[in-house]
Amino acid sequence: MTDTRERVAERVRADPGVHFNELVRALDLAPGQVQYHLRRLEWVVEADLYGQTHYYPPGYDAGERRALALLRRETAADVIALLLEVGSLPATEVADRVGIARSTLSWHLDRLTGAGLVAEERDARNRVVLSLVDPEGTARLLQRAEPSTPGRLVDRFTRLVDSLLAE
Amino acid sequence: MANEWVLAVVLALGGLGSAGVVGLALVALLQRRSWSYLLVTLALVTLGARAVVGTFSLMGMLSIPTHHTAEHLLDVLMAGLVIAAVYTARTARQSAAESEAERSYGGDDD
Repeated sequence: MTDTRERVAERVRADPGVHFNELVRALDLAPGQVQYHLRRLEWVVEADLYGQTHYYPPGYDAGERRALALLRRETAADVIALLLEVGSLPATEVADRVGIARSTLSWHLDRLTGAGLVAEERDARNRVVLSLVDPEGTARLLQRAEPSTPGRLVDRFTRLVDSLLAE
Repeated sequence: MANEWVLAVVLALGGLGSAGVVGLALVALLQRRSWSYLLVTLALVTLGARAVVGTFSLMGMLSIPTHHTAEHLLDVLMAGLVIAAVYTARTARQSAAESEAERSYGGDDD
């Protein structure tokens, strides 16, 4: 196996769910080179999720791959980390404690509930209460998910715009 | 002459900076696909357009009065786009609340 291919392989193992662009940037290779080596690495699992192509080492099922793609987003990871800490919490309080606008939380929740990571229930006062479906499994995945720098910037940009536009 | 160099550097920095911000806004727009994000993105595009107008006049392709009119027109456009973004954020939330009553956060806080 060539050196370059070993570097691509190492990066995919270290960063499950890494994007194609992130591989190109982090390894300082040409896109064609990365594409070539990814195709030769037969164990690499490719998944198109939320408009981007992600690459995974073996050992993650479809649900876990989806979860890793979401947990790479800083705000989603913040919400999950808070729920791991406190168990369950009303949605309005989650937004306040993470420091995001409700519209930001709502957008991330659509995906987190859709992927089966977060459950929404109504309490006696008819408030939406959030909790994790599988706290141990999600905590394990959260440790592996690392947001990329451009991903972080986009995430923070949407946080800023949402909070500026919220009354 | 020295002044022109300073202006060229400032224009280049402004162009690069606004290109970066517009790039961020475009990715965010692709994720959110809302009117508010479209308007915010267009408002940031007017920032980049200022650098383009500046470059044209530095190259002597625009007269100073035309340059000034264009820059201030872009200001008007940016203000209008930001106001429209704020306005649509409110109406979009209202219609979302009406159509998705089951997903509103409810409770005593709202």
